[in-house]
Amino acid sequence: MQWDDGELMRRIQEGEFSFFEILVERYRPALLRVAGGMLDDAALAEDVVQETFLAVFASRHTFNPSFHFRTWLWTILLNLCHRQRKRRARRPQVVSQSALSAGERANITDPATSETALAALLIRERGAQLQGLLNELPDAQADAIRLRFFGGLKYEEIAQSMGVSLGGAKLRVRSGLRKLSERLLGDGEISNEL
Amino acid sequence: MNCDDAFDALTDPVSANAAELTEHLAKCPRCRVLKQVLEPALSLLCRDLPAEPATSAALPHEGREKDAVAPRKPFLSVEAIGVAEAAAARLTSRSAASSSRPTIRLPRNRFSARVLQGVLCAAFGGLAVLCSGLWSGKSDVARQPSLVPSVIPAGAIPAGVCTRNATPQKATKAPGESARAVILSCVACHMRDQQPRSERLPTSLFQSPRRLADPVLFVCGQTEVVNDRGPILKPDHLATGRRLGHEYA
Repeated sequence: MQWDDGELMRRIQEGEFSFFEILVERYRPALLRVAGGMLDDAALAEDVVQETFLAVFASRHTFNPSFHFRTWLWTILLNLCHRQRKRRARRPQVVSQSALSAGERANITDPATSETALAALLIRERGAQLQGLLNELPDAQADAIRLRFFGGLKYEEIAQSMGVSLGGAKLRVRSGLRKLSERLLGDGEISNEL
Repeated sequence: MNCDDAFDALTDPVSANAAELTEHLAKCPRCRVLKQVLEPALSLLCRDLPAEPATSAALPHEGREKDAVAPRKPFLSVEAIGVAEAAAARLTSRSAASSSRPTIRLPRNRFSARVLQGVLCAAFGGLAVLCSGLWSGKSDVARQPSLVPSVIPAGAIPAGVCTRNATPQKATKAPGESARAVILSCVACHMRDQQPRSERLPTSLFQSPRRLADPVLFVCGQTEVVNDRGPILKPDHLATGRRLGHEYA
């Protein structure tokens, strides 16, 4: 049986905490993808996603069925990611040559599931390229694109999560995509190879 | 599907309504251009990412191994709880505001929306005209005389008589067109003889005092211009078209 998010939260509020696991399983992958892209650090993204779920659980009594659970969850994740970014901006960064970048790590696939090692390599390169291009965009546009394509959110949910109007959310995605396309076309030889 | 829906579908990684999108693109050149412009980014984003979130955690392989050996300690900061509670409060207030605000839902089709807006405007306009007509017909308020005589009823004021003073004057010949009657009535006041320049009547609405002193050329036909002292312009004066300023100043 497919449980509705609101129904699950209602049961959790009543004390049936085991239902929280369903919510975690349902949203964790998408949250990890978006957080990984925003923070450019898989380990940090994992921490933020975990903290997001814990915050949801701790403040479950504040959930109101008048808004969507998804919107609430994504809003928390976005805010926590922004805080992490600010913290990291204040701290001096340590660059490790041996460590893979988050874009590369996020796109490492299990060799058992990939067809060939070459395909895995190509996917990894594409992921790294995409991550690099997104990082060059303004944060608001890049975040809106991540929420749309990595998180699979509707535009209404993006708008509510980011605290902007519906038109504003669409404009962010459109402008971001336009800039991405321009850079991809400017970077012709790489795009054609991919 | 309109252009807004087409953009939604174009940027939808799932592309549930691809058939509708194709149909819209076939007949909308603007959306076709947009698709061409965004195509490089869309192909990169939609190709490299799964259409739906994977059921298993998308963690790096090494990360998952690390987790299996030493699970990460769960942690929660007060700050995170504050973020969650603030988000809940904001979303609650926002949903309450949106539900309490009365909205008129317009059709999604732009043409239908325009037609509906036009019909509503016309209806409101007609209602306003009807109400104002009823109000003016049944109003008990005494009508105030208009300061500016917009329409001079034919025959009410003879031609050549000042429309502002409207004192009974000597009857003249046929009034002619209303425009000519107004001009002649102004001439009756402005061309009073034996008036020093400084004591001219305060009726110089259309010309400055300097201009009043200037010769004025009138060709008015056969109408006689009069004032309370008698005729000041006769048809023969007018017919000749002489410069009146020289004669009456």
